[in-house]
Amino acid sequence: MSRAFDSLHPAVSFVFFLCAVGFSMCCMNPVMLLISFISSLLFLFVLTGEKSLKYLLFSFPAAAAVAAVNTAFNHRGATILLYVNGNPITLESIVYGTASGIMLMSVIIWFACLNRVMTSDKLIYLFARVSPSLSLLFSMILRFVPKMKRRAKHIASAQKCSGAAAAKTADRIKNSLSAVVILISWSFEDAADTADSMKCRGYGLPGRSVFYKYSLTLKDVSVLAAIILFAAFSAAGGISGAVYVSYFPAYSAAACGGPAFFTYAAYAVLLNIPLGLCLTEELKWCFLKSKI
Amino acid sequence: MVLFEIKNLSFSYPEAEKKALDCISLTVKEGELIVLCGPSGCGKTTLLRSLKPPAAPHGSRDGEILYRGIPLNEVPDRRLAEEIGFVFQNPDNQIVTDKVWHELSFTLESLGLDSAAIRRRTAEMSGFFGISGWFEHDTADLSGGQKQLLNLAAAAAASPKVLLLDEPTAQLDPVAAADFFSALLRISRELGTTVILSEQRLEEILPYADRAAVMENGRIIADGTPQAVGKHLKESANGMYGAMPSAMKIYYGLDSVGECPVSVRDGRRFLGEYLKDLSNRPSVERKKTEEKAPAIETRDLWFRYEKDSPDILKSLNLTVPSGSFFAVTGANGSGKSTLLSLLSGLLKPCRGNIRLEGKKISKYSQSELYSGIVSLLPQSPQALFTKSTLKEELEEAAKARGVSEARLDEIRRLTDIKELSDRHPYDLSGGEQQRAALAELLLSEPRILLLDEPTKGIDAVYKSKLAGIIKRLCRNGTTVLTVSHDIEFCAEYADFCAMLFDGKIIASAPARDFFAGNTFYTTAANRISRDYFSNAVTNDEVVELCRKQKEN
Amino acid sequence: MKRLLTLFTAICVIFSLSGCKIELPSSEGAPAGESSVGSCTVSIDCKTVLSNTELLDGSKKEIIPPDGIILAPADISVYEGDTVFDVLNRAVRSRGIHMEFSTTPGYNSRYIEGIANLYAFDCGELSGWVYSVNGEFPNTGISSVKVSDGDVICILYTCDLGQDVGNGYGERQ
Repeated sequence: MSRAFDSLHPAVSFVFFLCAVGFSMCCMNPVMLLISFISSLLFLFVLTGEKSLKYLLFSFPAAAAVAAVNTAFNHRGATILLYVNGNPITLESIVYGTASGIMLMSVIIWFACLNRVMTSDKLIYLFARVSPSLSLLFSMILRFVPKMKRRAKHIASAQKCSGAAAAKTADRIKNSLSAVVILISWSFEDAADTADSMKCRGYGLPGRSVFYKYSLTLKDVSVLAAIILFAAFSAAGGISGAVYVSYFPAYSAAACGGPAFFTYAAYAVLLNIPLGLCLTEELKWCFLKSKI
Repeated sequence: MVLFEIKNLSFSYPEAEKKALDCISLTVKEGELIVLCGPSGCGKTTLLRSLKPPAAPHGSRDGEILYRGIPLNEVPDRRLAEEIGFVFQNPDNQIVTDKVWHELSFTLESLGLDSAAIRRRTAEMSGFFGISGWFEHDTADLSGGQKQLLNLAAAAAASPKVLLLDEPTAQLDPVAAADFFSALLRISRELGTTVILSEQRLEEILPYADRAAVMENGRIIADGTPQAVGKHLKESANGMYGAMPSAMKIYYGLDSVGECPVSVRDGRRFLGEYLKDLSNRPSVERKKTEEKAPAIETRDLWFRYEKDSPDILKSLNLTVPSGSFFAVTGANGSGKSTLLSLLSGLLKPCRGNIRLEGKKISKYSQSELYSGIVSLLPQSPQALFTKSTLKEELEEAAKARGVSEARLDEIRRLTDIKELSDRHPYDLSGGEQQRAALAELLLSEPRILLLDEPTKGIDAVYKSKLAGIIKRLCRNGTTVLTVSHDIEFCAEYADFCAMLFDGKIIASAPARDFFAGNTFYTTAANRISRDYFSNAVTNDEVVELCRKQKEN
Repeated sequence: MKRLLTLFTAICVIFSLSGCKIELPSSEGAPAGESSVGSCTVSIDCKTVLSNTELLDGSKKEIIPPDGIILAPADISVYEGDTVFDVLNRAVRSRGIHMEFSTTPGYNSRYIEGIANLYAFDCGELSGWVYSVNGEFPNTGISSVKVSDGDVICILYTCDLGQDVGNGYGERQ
């Protein structure tokens, strides 16, 4: 189902996540926070299925933890609940803490979605537009890090089996250090081969081009336009103060009324664009299947 | 048209007294497929690398190399990258990027082609090599054979005029090697690319070569068609004769007339002619080897890596007699390395038990297990070496395990590594590294020795040396279990053989009987002679039976 | 998940065992077992803010009392060894007025951060809380001045470094 959004041009997904994370971080309005939290969870559910429930369950203790930390340091607010060490614990600071916790969780969940959508291919493509050699370097790092991890495991088991594993902690530390030495020297030796391979294939010749795997289609442009449009509306609403709430000294529920609702609506649409794309795709398939 | 002309090329590495290449003269015509062979260290790699300047080693060079009439060092870099492709031995090290499509487009990017041209060329390449299915995969997820195929495709992407390959199938299993060779032959035949490759696996590639060149100590000692080269080697009783294809060895083992066969098919035709008047199906008589008490026993062994991953071993039952040389064969990915990890105690089985020397493996403590019961020689012996000279390495290891100087000397003699003491372990050749690693393992006096693919990338001379060491160990009571793809090696030297398939051991028998019982998974000699002899497995057995026939 | 819950409960236990004093808002703050040695008058006001509304932080507008008086002069009992801080704390706690203070560990000295959600710098860069005892501004830490029976303590919010409430800091120089 998530292919509808995965198949978009990387720049479009990048702009979307930039808006999602950026707006989530900037706005403390509880309605906006809830919209962001729920949208991110729904999208993550579409992307990863049951694993997203783990994030939902984790949100509650996380928000509670942030609220606890906030109240320990922030003693402002008009409604005093108790005194700890002489300073007041106020309702406002608990509410603010919870709101911050939810914001934190939304950002984390958006990043989880980003992780799933922006594969290394797409990141490399975006890098390549900026600097081709940087993107090649990124690609090589993505290759070498898992390779070295696997090799380190191999070395550890080889060392263990050769009878080199010792009982004393000092010896074991020495063995780990020698394992690191082996890893480094072995990888250096192999890197010489890789360098030869690169040289043989013409690396270093002037005029290196980049293979662009993605191209902008009409769908990409229209989705990008929609994202920018709704982002502009939400930003306008935010900047103009229509959705401004203050938590201290007392909570002001001033963000109601026409412009506020308009901003909420625009924000909700913005954050649910990918979800919308995925659902429309699913519906289209069901419709087509039912015609057979 | 002459592609390469090498005139009196000599080369020596810096600070080396011996010349790596000694007055080599070779002419390569366009479209030829030339196989370079020779023992380890003869200069094949040096020669191949000298033909491609970016990969050429540093040192003092004499003589000249002409590429299409121009001295090689005057050819512009761009032309070199476009027209000469190189495939190295290690499939893993050559890969630069993390995705298959990126690897394919790497050369074309370096040459500055635009996206549309690159897309077209990589599409062509993928189709030709059958890579389209794994175009989007990570390079880390590919098997060895797939990686090497990818390397070949990447080297061929720029449509080179000549491909140089340095022992490309050394690290591959037989099936992957066969796939690789068929892809290479397609390039040679359909695209007319000149191919120069060095190989140890001559059985599969020599029949298709236009020419073979044998090297020894930096010189070319034979150069001509495979048949001519084989004749020369036989007549001069050269050690490299041992690497020649079975059909050729059978031919020369008998007083034969007519053309020397090179491929299995030719061999069958030849044998058919030779044994025209054969009326019965003779068989080789083999004496029964007495089976001793089992050193390794597994019962109902089950294993999988994760809860949701498929079972790798399913109810595996294995019995390895004490003091025997036992070989386990099986396709790539059948679980052989996993079995070794379980037998060596690195992994714990999900179900079932393993007994080593009669005692359950879980009853041994870690230190007990690895200092005297079992040792594992990994596929890459480099994983064991920490010091900068072999001498230091062994002395350190001996001290750590409390082994006397005398015993260390004995082990050095057994594994034949005395002259290598001052060398850096990473500078040793594959066979030498293996023997050095074996020496280090023997310091723990293991009763059971596990070898993981010991003959990968090893030449014929070292293989027989290794076999000699293993036999000596078995005579002294050590049980040696090896996991191997090398059918010829197992058929020649192993006592018992078993096949691992679908997570179980499905056949286990004395080695020669085991291979005689198979149709596909067997030696070339068996495949040549199976219509006439019911169970001849090695060349010598075939020759012997033929001689007996002629006497009658 | 289980791990998280155990971590959470562990934190709660540590928190509660670390000697945090938790009190409900109703307590007077009287020290146990002692008897009062007199009383003093405490008043808190922020009248200067009313004449400097243009400098006031927007979100604080609602918390300023229309007459600028947060606490009209009130009688607060004084106990043995009380400082101005102790008396002030008793005053705000018994009346549910918000106050935040910080403690410097080594010297055990207190600093008033804000009262009734009005903090320093909320009304311009020169604004903050100052206090006077019997009309004089001690200009030392609020927990270093001892209180005796009959003292008149004024806690005042200044928008001008003290000048507008009579503590002419500038005048001194």
